[in-house]
Amino acid sequence: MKKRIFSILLCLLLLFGLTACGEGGYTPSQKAFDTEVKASVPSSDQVITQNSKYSLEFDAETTGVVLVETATGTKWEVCPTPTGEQKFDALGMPIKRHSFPQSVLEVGYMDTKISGGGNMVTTTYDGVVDFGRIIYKPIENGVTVEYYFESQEFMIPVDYVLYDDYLSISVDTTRIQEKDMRVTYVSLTPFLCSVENDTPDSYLFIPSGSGALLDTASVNDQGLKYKAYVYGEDLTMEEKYLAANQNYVRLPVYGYKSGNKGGFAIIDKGADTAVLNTTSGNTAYEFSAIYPSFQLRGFTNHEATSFNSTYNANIYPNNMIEGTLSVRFYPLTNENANYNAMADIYRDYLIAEKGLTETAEQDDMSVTLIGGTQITKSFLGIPYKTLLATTTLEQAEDMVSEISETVDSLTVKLKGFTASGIDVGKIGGGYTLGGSVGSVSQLKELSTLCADKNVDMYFDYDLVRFGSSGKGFSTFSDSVMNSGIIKADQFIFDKAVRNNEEKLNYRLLRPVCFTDAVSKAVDKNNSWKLGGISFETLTSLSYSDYSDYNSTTAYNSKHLFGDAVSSSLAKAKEGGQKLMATSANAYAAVLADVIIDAPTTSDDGYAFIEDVPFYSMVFRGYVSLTGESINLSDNSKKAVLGSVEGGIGLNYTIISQWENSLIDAYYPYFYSTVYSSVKEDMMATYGELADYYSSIKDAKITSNTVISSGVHCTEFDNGVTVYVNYNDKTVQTPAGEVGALDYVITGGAA
Amino acid sequence: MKKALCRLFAVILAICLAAGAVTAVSAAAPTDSYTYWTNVGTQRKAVYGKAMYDVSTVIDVTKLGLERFSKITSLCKDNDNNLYILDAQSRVVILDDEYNLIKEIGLIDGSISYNNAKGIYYNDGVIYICNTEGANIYMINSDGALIDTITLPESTLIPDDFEFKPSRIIRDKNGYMYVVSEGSYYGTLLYAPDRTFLGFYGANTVNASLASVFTNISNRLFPNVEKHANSAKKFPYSLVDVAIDKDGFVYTCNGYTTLSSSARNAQIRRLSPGEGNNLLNNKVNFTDTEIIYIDNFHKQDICDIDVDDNGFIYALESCFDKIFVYDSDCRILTVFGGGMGAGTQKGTFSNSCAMVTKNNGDSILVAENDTNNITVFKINDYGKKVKELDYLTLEGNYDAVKEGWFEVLAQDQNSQLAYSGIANAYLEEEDYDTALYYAKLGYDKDTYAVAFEYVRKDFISENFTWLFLIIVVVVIGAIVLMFVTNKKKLVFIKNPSLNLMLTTAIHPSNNFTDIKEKKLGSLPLCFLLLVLYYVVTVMKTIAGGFLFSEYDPTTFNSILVLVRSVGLVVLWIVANWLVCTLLGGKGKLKEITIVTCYSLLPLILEGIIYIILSNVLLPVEASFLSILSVLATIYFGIMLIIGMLKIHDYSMGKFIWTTILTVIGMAIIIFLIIMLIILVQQFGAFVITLVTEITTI
Repeated sequence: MKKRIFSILLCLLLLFGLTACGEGGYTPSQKAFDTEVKASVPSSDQVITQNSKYSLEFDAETTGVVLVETATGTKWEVCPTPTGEQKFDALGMPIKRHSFPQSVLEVGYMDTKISGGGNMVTTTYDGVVDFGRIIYKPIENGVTVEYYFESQEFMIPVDYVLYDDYLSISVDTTRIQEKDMRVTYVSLTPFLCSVENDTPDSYLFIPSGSGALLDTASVNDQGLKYKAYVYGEDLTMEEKYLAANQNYVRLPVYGYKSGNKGGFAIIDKGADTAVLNTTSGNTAYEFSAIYPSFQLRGFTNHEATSFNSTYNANIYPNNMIEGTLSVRFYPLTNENANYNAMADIYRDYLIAEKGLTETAEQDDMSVTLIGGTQITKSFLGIPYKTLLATTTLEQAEDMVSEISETVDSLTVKLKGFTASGIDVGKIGGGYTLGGSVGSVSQLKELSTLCADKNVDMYFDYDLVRFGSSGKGFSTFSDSVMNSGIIKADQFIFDKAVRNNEEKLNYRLLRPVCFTDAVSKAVDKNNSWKLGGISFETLTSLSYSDYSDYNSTTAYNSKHLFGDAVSSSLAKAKEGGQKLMATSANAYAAVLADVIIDAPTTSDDGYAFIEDVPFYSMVFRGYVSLTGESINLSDNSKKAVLGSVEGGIGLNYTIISQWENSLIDAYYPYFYSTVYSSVKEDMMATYGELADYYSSIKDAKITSNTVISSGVHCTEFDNGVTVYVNYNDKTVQTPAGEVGALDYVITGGAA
Repeated sequence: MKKALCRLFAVILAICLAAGAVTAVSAAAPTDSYTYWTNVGTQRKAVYGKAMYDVSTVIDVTKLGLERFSKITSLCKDNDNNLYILDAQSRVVILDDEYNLIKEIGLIDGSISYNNAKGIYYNDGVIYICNTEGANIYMINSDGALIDTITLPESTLIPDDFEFKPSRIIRDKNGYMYVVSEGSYYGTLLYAPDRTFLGFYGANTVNASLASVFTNISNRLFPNVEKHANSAKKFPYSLVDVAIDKDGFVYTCNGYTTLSSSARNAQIRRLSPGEGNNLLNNKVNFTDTEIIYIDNFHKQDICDIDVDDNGFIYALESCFDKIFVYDSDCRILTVFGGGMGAGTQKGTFSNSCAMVTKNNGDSILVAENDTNNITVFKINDYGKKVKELDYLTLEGNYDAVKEGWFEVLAQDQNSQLAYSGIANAYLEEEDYDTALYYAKLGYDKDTYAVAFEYVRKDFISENFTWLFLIIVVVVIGAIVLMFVTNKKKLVFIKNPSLNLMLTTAIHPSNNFTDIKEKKLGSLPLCFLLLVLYYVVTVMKTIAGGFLFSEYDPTTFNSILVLVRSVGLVVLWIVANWLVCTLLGGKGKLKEITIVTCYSLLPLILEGIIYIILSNVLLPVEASFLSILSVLATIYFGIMLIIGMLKIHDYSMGKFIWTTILTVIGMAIIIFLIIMLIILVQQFGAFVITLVTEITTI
């Protein structure tokens, strides 16, 4: 009898387990591919709609649209046409143009009938114009064009709607039709922001880090490619072996300039899922372009080892994200065809749509104090982890007192002062003060001192990464899952040997828990009587979550991640806390009172020709900004120049004491942070810039110009102008000579 | 107005810059620089450090109006720092020190091609092009006119099957030429100034282990096709690049090696004149210590080396696309670069292929085959300072470097070279205590040893009288004590078991007989001895002198020591009891335990003496500790043998036989334990998988 009961239980258990391998109960809202509907498309070009400035026309050849400025006749084509004459091959036959620049969409897909699915790509030109069906449906102020990919058996509808100043291009994923082929990503109008190769006075603009301009000169038939996830890589994807440090795309925008014409695009909806791609100097395309690809199905990179070889495969979920993905395209002309106008447009957009307001006075300097780190010590040869205080609260008081004597407007961030220090522990470091860094009363004393000295103090909580359960958050039930529906383990990446430290894994908090986690941090801050709160990881990282795969597609492929962060940060503001963000993504930046570590350099891809301070241009005057840590940068002079150019404050990361056990710390930058070593340079640099910061305190940037390679000029609305020279040679500017790695300030009080 | 002025400048300067091939770069390298700390524990340790090189420029020849390279195969420079770039499609591009175009040389004399040539070298007005596929080396002038051609010489020294595929060439100041032939494991071909072939020079040797010797003998005795095929792998590694320093010493490097540490050591060699022996440290691994290989194709592969006038060695590792910089003493200064086949940022690479240094190592140029650009890394102020100080330190100018090293330390607390330099400076100033402090911080055992010798000497000379008196008193006291004890038959330890245990080392035969016959052995004392043995073994590591210790708290775990020490003893006891029970041994488990544990006394005593002496001895006196250790081990062995013979009542022959079986038994038990652990692990993994599956429905 016992055996029978046991067998029945075992069978039930197995059945239970096997059920987990099947598809979830959630029914996706995507429709099945319609094989019956007839094509209906205008046979010739025609005007779709028009307003006082622009008319929107249908391009029958490419099935895309053309935006025309009615006053001048200037055109912005979704599928641009090269200006040169028809090219011929050696046999005298006309060379057919590459299909990609003639496409409205590039679509990545996989075949569910094939094991592994493969990663296949098609375009509207290859998959629809020649072999598919197109349905043209006029809508208010625009048109919907449905692209039926006959061979692949999926349909993607694109809405083009003309507004006063911009063209909106969008895809509603719930209207996408599929059969056996599953759409993985959609690149929307890939050549709308493009420049014909070798066009003089032209560039592509990508907001990589601070922002960068890309070359458009011809390279070869491969060109130079670059891609960057908007808001940073998806940590849940578990892409291993990252080659280098990356300066993320923090703002969901892109643009181009081609002579006296240009364009600027804002990814209005679905930015979390977007990847910005660039192709520069590709002679086959004849154009250099920047475009977004929306990852409709996120994936996890799975690595398998067999017979001594390693294979990588992407695991995709069954359901694609649900919602609208849209891009606002702003045409630019003449003096507005540059990144200055782009910054203005984006700032106006943030004010109107995202609630960006002027919240704080610009700080001259921010200082991040690192409380402690976990190190391995040994008792009778038995190793144990303990928190080594790198800065105690008592030492912090001394440092803040000393620095505030010199610096007019100072902000202090306390990082790694919780129980786990700077390392991963419980969520929010357990919301407790690390024992070795000091007591709560000392923290209150420090807070009082800061208030007396008019220094803003922010206490940082890591609400994203956690290695152990506690304070209401469990690593088992509250951590994100990847698209393979297993816990997405994260590893400390040892960049020295470019490998994950397998023994140091941690997990990421589910976005649905953010509000709760933030509320607890706010409560703790209030109980400690602190007025400033900082969420470094929450405001700078992004990732997917597939935990609720059987009830929703929210947070798949990072979709709506920004919304989850925004709503939780709003709680902090409601709780009366001033908010500090670090290297903030756009959704967090608009809510922050202070942004430190604001990017001042780009990712420096091979096609990048100049870094520009686009990030500072957007936010300066609205949110207090300080730049990348001067003492952590490889070249502190260039880091200072970056802050000077953007008119943003200096930033330092410091500790009070160093011991050689810190060579084993997983935070890699302790080596250049000791206050006694940094102090002199910090004070000297500030001393040189104090007048400059004072003169631009309330000013806004009116323009930034690349005078020549590595020589930039920023003008403020009060007449102050700064010329910075990133080169290692003296250069001539309108303000006279500017020395190597130096700057010259003119106008205003300077 | 200001805007207009700015734009005007922009246009003018843009036109000026359009003539340059260089893309200005404002950012630092996108990868973190690091070095390796040595002497910390048993392995060197990768430690982040401040970058010494920044990405300065990226050279793209299309900006000079030239065709893009099809494939850059080699780079070299001349005395004026002009850069020579060899393209696989019969093309040499010459750029000046500012990377402006000087000249493009196509076919030699307008007709001779050198497609897929792999090496270029400039010397004394002559450009040497290693025409690898054509099996010759063209000597041309800067106008591209052929001066001469070097081919494989006629010589009995060259094997019949030798395939001449020249890939690199250098000339020393006396005109001797060294040619690397691709795939050759004979070393470089050495030519006299008059082009006479002198023989092969600087071949690698095969590292032979005892196992490989036995395998070799076995293969010769029992040959078959498979073994013959495998034996081909035992050839020495062929050379891939060659460089020469200002003193005329030749440096060579091996490329791709196996993963064994011995093969990865001495990948770069500095050859002695004549013999061609390696003058660099043979124990240095010039690449990364541990990389988890993604697949079989990702292995360390040094493809290019260079040496500057100060003896700094630069190596390009092309698999992970990193640049390693070493000083002449093989101490690592920095590692940077990267990309691992996927670099899209300046300063990272997806297919690095060639390197050359300029301005005495202040600029490192790395060519990349995917973008066919050349990235120029330029030394920054910090890097310049470190190199200058390191050079002066190695030259012995310690007094000139102290302040500089402190400045370095202010910027990079992780600089092991700085600690070492400061320690040496204090040593020079005869401030030995401070020298000890910094040497210890930087794990610089050599400097620590020198400083410690002085400190010890000073201590002895200052306290000689006291020390002498103490020693005399102790010796006399001991003699008197022994005399009195013997004469008056004094017994200090009344407990017979304890007394027996303590005197076992002096009278092993009698005492083990007493243990067998009078049952005087004590299990609690055995336990105490085991604990002592464990504690002493641990303390030898954690409390041993700095000069003798390889203690690293992050990797050392005394639980493992417990397994290695106490575990082994327990294993011996159990296995011996099992074997001897079957083979008529009379010893009981308790007796075996007592004999084994009591035999540990010499080892415990040796451990205590080691801990004390390792804190006062110098490494040159380490042989004393080794002798002590050997003696203690032999004494332990003798005691164990006597004890086992006594309790089991075995003859020597039977003892040896049962000992062999005991060792086999120990191996079997270990095997079973490992099997059990694996089984438990797999069961655990199964349970976890099951739980995961159930909970993720």
